[in-house]
Amino acid sequence: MSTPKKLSPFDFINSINEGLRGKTVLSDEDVESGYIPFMVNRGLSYFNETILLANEMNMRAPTATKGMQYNFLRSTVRPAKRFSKWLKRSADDSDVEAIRSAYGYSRGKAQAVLGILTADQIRVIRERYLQKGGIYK
Amino acid sequence: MNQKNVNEFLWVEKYRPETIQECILPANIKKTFLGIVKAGLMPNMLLSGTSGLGKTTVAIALCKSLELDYILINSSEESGIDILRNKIKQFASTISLSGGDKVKVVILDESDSLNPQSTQPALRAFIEEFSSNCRFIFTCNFKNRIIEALHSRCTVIEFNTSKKDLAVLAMEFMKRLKVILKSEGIKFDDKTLAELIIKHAPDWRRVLNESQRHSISGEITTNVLVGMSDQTMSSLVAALKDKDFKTMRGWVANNNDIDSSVIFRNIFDQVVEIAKPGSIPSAVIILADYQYKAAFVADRELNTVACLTELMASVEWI
Repeated sequence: MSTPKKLSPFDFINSINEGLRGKTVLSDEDVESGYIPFMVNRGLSYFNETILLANEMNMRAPTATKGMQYNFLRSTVRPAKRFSKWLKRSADDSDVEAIRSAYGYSRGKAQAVLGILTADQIRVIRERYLQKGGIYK
Repeated sequence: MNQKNVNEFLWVEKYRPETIQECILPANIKKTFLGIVKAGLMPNMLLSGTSGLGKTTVAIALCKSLELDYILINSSEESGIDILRNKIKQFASTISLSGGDKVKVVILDESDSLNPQSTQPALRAFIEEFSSNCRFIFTCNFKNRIIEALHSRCTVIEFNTSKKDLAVLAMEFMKRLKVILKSEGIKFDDKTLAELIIKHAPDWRRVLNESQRHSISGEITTNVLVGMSDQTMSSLVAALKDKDFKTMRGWVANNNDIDSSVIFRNIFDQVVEIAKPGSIPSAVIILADYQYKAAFVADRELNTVACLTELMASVEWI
């Protein structure tokens, strides 16, 4: 007998997009074990008609249970098929990573000084902080 | 090539104050830290305030003045529970090399990024477990993101700057900046420097970074007053005016290192200039509401997108 597949945040996003008319009604157990509010809300933040609803749950994450959040979104999001890329920073982050390692900065601080350093200085930092085990990243 | 050479690349590192006396701070705060140095007793501390005020510099300067071993951990990059289990435990559970009776210090920079559900509660026990040989200094921008249990275990010092203090500090920083520019052989005029300081004060790190960024030609001109962020913001404003949600969403994802309060402030400055007067009140209310929410939402990026979406729907541009 095979064990049931654990649901991913994307299963929940699909279920929310189907709305109350959708066939999938998830059990309380499914919601508690597989629902990751951060991921579900992010997934709904890529569309102008769902971002405000997702942010309502983003605000209430500490107090609303996973079941409450899932049911709120499932009841309020207009049923539709929605597809989007999962957005990430598009810039080449290796220089930022090298600066971060060199100075112990956060990404924000490293980003802020990226434009200050010359190409030669960045090369020196990369050589020193990204060259590990003989491999030049 | 050693760390010292790398530090020469950035003025903020090269000229970072090494003692409390050198730090540019409001008189009452400086007095508190000088008292700690004089007493020779390092307490657990929570230093809070906006960026660029010198919280990390003060934490390091205290350790150097008291000759204490320290480890600096950037919590925004290492915010999970593993950092406690590995890095901090390993450091805190060993005796300092600088002397058997000396404590060690863990500086948790940007600690408001530490997970309030797992890492922060776990730190309570760590502070007590290693209290005989280790102290913790937390620095943060938003102290309300630090759980109450950590507040009560630390001396909380707020880096607040009153208007009166700000004028004094700005003068002090102007003198410091002139010394730096002279030693770097950069030409400047006092008026431009004063305008630059007024524009970014009390974010002293930003002033120094902007000065270095615009000194490549050997001279600081009025170009320094048109910051890179202005150019970045203009592409966002264009997306808002065009009601282009996709571009706006991509911009926020690409610039998620910029604090939302900075984005909201810049948007407000633009709204006043290029929105129809009738739209200004609703824009102000939207910005203020989301600025308030930013203090407690789980995902700040999402909150910023929601704010910009509401602005797109509500504001009419000229």
